[in-house]
Amino acid sequence: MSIARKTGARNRESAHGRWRAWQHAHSWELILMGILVLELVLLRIFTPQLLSPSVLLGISINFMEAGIITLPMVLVIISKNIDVSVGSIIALVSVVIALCIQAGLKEWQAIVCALVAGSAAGFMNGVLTTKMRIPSLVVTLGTYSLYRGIAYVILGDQTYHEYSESFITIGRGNLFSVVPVPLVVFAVLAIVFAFVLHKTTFGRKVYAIGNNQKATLYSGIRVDWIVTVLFTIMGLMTAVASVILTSRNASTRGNMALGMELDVITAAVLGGAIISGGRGTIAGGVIAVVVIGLLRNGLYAQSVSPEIMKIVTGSLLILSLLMPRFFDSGRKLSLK
Amino acid sequence: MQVARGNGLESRRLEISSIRLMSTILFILVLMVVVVIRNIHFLDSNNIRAILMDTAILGIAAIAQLVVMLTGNIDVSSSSIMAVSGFSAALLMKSVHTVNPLAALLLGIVLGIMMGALNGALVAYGRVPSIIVTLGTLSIYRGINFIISGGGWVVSRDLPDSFRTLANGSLLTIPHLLLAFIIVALVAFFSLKYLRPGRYLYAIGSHLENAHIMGINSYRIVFIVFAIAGLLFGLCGVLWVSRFNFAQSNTASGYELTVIAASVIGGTGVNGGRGSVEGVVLGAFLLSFLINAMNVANISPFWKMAIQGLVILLAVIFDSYLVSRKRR
Amino acid sequence: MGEHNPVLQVVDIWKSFPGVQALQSIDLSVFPGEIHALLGENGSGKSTLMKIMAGVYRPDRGVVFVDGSAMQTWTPAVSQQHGISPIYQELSLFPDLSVSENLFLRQGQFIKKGIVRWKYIEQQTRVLLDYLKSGSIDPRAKVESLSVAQRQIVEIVKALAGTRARVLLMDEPTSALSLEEVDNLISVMRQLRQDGVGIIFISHKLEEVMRIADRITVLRDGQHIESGPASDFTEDSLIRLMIGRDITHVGLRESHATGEKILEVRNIGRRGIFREISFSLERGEILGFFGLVGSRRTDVVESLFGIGPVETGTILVDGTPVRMTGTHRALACGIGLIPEDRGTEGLILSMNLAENITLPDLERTFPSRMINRRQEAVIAENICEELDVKFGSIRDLVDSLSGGNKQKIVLAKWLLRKARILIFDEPTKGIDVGAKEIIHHLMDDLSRKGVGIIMVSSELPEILKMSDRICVMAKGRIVGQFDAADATQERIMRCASEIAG
Repeated sequence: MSIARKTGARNRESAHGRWRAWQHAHSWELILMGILVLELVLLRIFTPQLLSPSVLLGISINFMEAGIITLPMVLVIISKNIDVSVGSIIALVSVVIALCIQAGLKEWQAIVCALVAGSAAGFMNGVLTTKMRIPSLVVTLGTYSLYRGIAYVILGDQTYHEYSESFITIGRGNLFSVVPVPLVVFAVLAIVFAFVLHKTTFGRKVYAIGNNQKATLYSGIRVDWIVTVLFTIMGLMTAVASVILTSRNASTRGNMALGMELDVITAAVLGGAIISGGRGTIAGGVIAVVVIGLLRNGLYAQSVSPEIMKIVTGSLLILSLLMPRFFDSGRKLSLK
Repeated sequence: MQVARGNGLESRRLEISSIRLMSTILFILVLMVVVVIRNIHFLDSNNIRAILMDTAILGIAAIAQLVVMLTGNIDVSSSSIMAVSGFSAALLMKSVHTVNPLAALLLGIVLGIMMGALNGALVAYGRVPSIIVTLGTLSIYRGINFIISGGGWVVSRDLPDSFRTLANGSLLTIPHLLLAFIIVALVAFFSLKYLRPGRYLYAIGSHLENAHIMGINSYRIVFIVFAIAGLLFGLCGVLWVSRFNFAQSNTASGYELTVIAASVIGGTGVNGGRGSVEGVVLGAFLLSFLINAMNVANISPFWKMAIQGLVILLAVIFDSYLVSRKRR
Repeated sequence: MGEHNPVLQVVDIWKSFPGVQALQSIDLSVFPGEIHALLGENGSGKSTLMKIMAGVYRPDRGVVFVDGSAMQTWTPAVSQQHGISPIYQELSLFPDLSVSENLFLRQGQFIKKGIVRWKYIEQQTRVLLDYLKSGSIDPRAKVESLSVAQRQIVEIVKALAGTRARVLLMDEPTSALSLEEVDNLISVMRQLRQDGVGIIFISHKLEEVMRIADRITVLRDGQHIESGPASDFTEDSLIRLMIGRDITHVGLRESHATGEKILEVRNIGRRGIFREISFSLERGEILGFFGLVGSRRTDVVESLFGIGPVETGTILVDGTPVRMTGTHRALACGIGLIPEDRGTEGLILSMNLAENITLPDLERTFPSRMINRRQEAVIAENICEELDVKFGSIRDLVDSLSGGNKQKIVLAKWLLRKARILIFDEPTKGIDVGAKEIIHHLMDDLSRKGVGIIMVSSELPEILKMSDRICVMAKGRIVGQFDAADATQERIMRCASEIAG
């Protein structure tokens, strides 16, 4: 009976059946790929010069910071939380870097401080959400203001730009003189995150929490701790992005990365992460990052102003949540 | 023989909303005392006027935020709606000097209603979470403002004097802006307390499912609420631009946080069902007073954002504490 | 009390659910000005009958009459219109709104010319509350600040404020109330009766039933057993009717208890919920926890699992004191919980079988922390086979399984985890007879393997059949402990109903 059961179960999953199941499970990513292809076609028609490998590599750096932050954002959204304070953490961390450099610390030391500061900021978000039982939206709205506020207090109106050549190469340098460093960092992190989310027990727990927090708690999993870790990682990755951004622009300003949370959340949501939790993939997030990045640069090449880009991004965000409604028309009311 | 039980019998005095109201008043008093002690001349007529005018604008916006949050939603696109309405009104006045400024006001309000209605439609009928919708429209409307303004400004000399008087002119020594605020506050207070649809807002925020079971059409109500908020934000925007006689593409940028802060300080619950006009007015006053006090004490304006954030966090932590104390 | 015609009457009601015939040919009448008690064991069908009377369930067969006219449609809305009001404990109130507002929000009298008449509705509320001798409730108080007992009163008043209720349906109305609050509620019910309102209520508390009911109907196993004036019954006769003729032991199970204590609970308590709870559990023993609704058994056992704080007392596992700071602690001690609400607490319905089964034991299944889906599938399939779970593919969503099989998956989680102490909270609730047997068999198997089991159940036959020892709880305290040999249905019921003697 046991052998029959085992092989029977396996046989039920014929190759074709498995292919269909995979298609179904990844339908969102497939649609995204389709959009990407469409985009490439349009770019070929309107701005073919953009499509040369060297140009593509070059313009990629404009969107890598958002891309790096999108990775942990996908996890946070899967766990049924959200973080709108990421732009402010970037500013704060950048100020920390500036302070360190100004105090005479070596660059690598400044970077370490930055990573610690970012993690601390994320940790605070996590603690307020889990221990104080405050919705993460409200917590991060508050820290959005607080963190950037602190950056402004320290920096005021000024711009700090005493960054050395070696520091600048982080953001502007190329690996093997071809591939930009930020792109490499993003790619490596994307692989790490994809691995953690889809292949490790930690990732499984994140999905579980987003699907049914109570049942996950009842299975002996430390939900509060995991959510706090997620926010801390978010802070850490934001710090990484901040290092890259600061280095790329060779400056620290109070209003840097203002509005970046919009880009990041849009990328995560477009990539299939659902606000009500439990669903989302890194692959989807990465494709979405590429889609949005290409869109940006394509429009930029057409001399579309950054403000118009904002309209596009905002619309994209709303549309990516409206779309599923047409596919899944029994969606229950959730006004909150 | 019985297991001890919380008694809830004399709890009216201990209700969360009353506690919040009283603590806000307490904070204001403490703040006033501290400031006046440090600088007895703080309360001169200029400062008082500035504080009241700030409170008026913040108050109108915070009331709009209140009605949205009562239903359990949030609107972060407030600053962008204000910008579009304000700039459009200024543009109208700049182009046609002789037009009645009230027409500009009406234009701003109508635009505000439209933008609010779009928010409402997406939230109520599109079933998209309000944070997402308004995060999106925050950018979209700001982008629209950029298009309208072409990245430029409208300055005083472009505008007829009549525009200034919209906000700054006075009736019986009370500036129009303040009057508008008082009227809005009174209407809001009355509507939320004495009109049935106003009470429905509380019901929807308190227990959405029961509201449905009782036959309340929450979709329609939420849609209308966002439209009303848009109306008020539009009003706010025009008055803001009129007050300073100046409009630019990033008017009121970042103000959405201030509005939320005022609302939250005033005891508006983030989950809906809780909040009052009195509370929000006090919250707006407290925040405006604080900001002005900081200006006068020569604390750099850059502290504003940090303090706002801190205030939001403290307010919600306090709320969370009160709720957990109530729970048996 | 009238010799009028019945206000509400149900005739020849049949209702079945998958695998269970809940009601067979039930007739029931409620007269105006009458307090009618509906008694029966768990599974007797009384709750189902109430729900049918409220319009929530549709009977398979049978007719509902109001004032002698047969009802073509019978839904919650229609029943409310006819004055049939179910009383929930707090489910239909708005916590952030005041009492008077809750009562009148949807009533025409709420406004006059569009304006809310606060004074008027507060006055009306006060009148209604006074009429029910509950004047201590402030009409302006927000419902969230009221105690459960007070909310119940408000629910009742709500039924009176609107389309005047003619029949109130109350399911276990006194379960969460203190003695004083019960007295209060009883006088409210008496006042209502005086005014011609008919009340039908379900209760396990025989003493209260005898105090207040005018007529009593007893159901057993979905069938009508007897109806009559309360004076025709005694508590003993009622118990006998509820339980059935056979009131001796039902097939005693052989105990596998080894005598070695694996769990000891000393005097634990949580203010306002439970107190002075002390008991112990041996390896291989099945300890039954019986109690009526409101006895707080679930709170007690959940606190052993790290859910909800333990404020006083100690818990010892294998002789070592443990502070259950969270569920992870409980798991580390080898304790597992199969919760009452399978769907929301025991399983993640949107994830598949394999994922659910491995969830509590991810670290041990995958020491490298890397998930191997094939390995996971094999492990899960093996366990499912051990438990004889009927499923299509191990990658099916758990939601696709039947109730009994879902329960097995919850169990599978803890088997994989090799839990040494398992807490079952209402393990066979809502499961058909065949699957019940299987679950019981599994539990027996586990105890034979040395697992200590705490079984919370409201079903007397199940408690008697499975337990080696029985703890009886009432109102947050343990009111009796029995060895299997000394336990009879009568004794346990009386203990749980707090009948003296």
